[in-house]
Amino acid sequence: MNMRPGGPERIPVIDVDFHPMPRHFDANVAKFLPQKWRDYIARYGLGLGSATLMGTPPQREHTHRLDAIDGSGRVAVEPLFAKAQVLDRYDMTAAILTCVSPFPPCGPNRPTELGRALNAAFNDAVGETWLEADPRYYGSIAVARDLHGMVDEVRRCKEGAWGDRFVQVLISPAGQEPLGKPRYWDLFEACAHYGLPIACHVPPTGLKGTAGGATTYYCELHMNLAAFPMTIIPSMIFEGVFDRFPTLKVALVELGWSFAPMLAWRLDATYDRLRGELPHLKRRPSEYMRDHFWFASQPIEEPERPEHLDGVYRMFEESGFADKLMYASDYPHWDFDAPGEVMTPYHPLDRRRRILGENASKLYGIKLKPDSGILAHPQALAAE
Amino acid sequence: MSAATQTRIGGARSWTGPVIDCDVHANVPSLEALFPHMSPLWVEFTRERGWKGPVVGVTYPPEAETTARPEWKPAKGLPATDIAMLRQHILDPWKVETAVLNCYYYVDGLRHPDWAAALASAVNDWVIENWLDKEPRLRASIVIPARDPPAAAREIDRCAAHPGFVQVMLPVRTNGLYGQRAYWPIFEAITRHGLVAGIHWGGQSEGAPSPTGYASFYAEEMVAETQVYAAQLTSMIIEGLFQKFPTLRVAMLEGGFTWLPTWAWNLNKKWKGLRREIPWVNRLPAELIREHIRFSTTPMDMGPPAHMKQILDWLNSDDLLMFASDYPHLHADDIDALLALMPETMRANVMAGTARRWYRL
Repeated sequence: MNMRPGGPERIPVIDVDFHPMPRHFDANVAKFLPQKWRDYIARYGLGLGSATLMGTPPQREHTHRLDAIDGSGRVAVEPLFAKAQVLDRYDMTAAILTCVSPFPPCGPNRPTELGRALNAAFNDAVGETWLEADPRYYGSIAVARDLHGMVDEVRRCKEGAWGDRFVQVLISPAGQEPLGKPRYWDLFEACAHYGLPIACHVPPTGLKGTAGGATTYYCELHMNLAAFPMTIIPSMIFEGVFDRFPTLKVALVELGWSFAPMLAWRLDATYDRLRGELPHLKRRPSEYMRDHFWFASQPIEEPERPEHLDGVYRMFEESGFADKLMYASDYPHWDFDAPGEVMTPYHPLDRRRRILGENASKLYGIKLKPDSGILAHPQALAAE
Repeated sequence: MSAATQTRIGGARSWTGPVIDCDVHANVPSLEALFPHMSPLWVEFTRERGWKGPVVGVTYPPEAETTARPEWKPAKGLPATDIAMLRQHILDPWKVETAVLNCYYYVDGLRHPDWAAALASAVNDWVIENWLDKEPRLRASIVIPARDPPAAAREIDRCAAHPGFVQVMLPVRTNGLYGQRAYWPIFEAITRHGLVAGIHWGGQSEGAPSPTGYASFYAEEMVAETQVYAAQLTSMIIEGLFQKFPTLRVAMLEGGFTWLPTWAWNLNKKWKGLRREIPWVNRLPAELIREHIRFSTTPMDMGPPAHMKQILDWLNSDDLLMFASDYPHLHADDIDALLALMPETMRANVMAGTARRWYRL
């Protein structure tokens, strides 16, 4: 990676889904937690609080890729280990940290004050441990979805020591109510105020695993992740969230993307027939969807017939979403996608540039590093 | 509403071959209409409590634009309660060879298990007397008390003797996903009688019909309902329902199909990564779907023609879709526009062939 100006052409990379995985008992988290809550947790415990998640053990303890175990014996605890494994290896411009450790332990299944203190401790730990470790790490302000006082946490983080490096708010894709409901509007107002996108990432913290009840297997739970946008998108559009907050941007991370054109058609077809119920909308639903939603690449599409792959991208692009798909690695999980394996030279160069770096650069306002990233023509180099 | 979003009355102009309509509806006009088919105990129960019957409006609000096309609304009362109107609106003008009648009376909206079972029996007997025995072009679905699988199996056994029943109607919203073992008595009965398991819009789950609380708008519920069809399909595959019941045929009705290809790819991909947890699933999920599940064409949720053509290609089969009018509901469906994107063999399958084979007509 030492070939710089004059070297082979490169595609700059931003990873929008990179998970630090601190736990509440780690010293770098616990130090931010008031003693009374450390005592409380020591005495009364802190389960994950979700029967569905607890009842379907994943395939590995940390749902990790095997080589991601760092010096702690866990994964994504040590920022320098992760930096070498991902940031350096792929010469990335940035990684947007998506630490979901507060979901669901800080949810409504806690004393509210504990939930808030612990949620704040996780965000501070991400700042102190990760954002300090490398300037290419950017943070998300994680907020437990139905915890009272979420807005205060956004403000606290934005106006704290790492304020400039927190580039979005992160929330679970499922909670007590659909995301468009008024209970979440003060959060959207804070996002609009600070110019932050709001991102959704599992684990879900709703009342059920699926609309038809809990799933039985981890595999099944994982398959149903792709269903969350089906509630998020219509709810936010039909509730008029984007007329109220016209600058609000929503990133759906690890929730799929290829479904977007079909969902847009369904939104419009339903709206066309039920306009009587939705007189408050100023535009067709698909227009709101195209303007306000971003998507993450991982897990990347694998059509049954490989010759259909280009068409999947083309339909997405032709439907107006070309600048809405962003590369995500999902490090350190088992289904990690490497940038060069996702965006191979099979794809046209402009598509690779958009997805690997440009789209995220625009959304998060992070300037791409010139002459960095993965090789644009790896075969040409290999042939030399 | 623009003309383009309206189905042309009179069916497909571009198709002159045989037509099978896999989803038309009959509404029970009132609870009293079922009294002749109930034991005096349940009639008395009903009268004592002043109960008016299940709240049908939860699934289809009576005045919503989608509940009935204006042309198909009677002067008074509920649509789809009169066999003469069904003949006049669908069977005759569309030259329908066979239509599969789904009476969704929301039986599972009633908690009392014995009462719900009695109500299901009454609906089925009412369907036999008022529809099946009066119209040879009709076949029908057995309504079951879906909350109580052993009772549902008994009702299937009771009704299956009538040759007019070709399907068991399973409301898509449930408390538990259908692949789970608690539901297997239902599928055992369905396969024992060679019937189709028809998953249809409607039903009553505990709490909100979503993983994240109640939708505000009916339109929002409709858009989002794809998720529960997808969850049921996924459950049936993951739990090994098709290995347990290798002859099982499922029809997904009124759930759309444009979501299917990318969902199926996702299933294939997750299966490749995680199948050690579910070793009984010994084939790719997309293959199991093609072998065991069919989809009605409603609602079509049409995108631009070139993109719809891609969706049809991605199905990787010309034998997955079955034409449905979904009488008396209003969809933005244009069957001619969909047929225009298909090769001839697929058109014949969609309009009749697939349903003929699936329902053994």
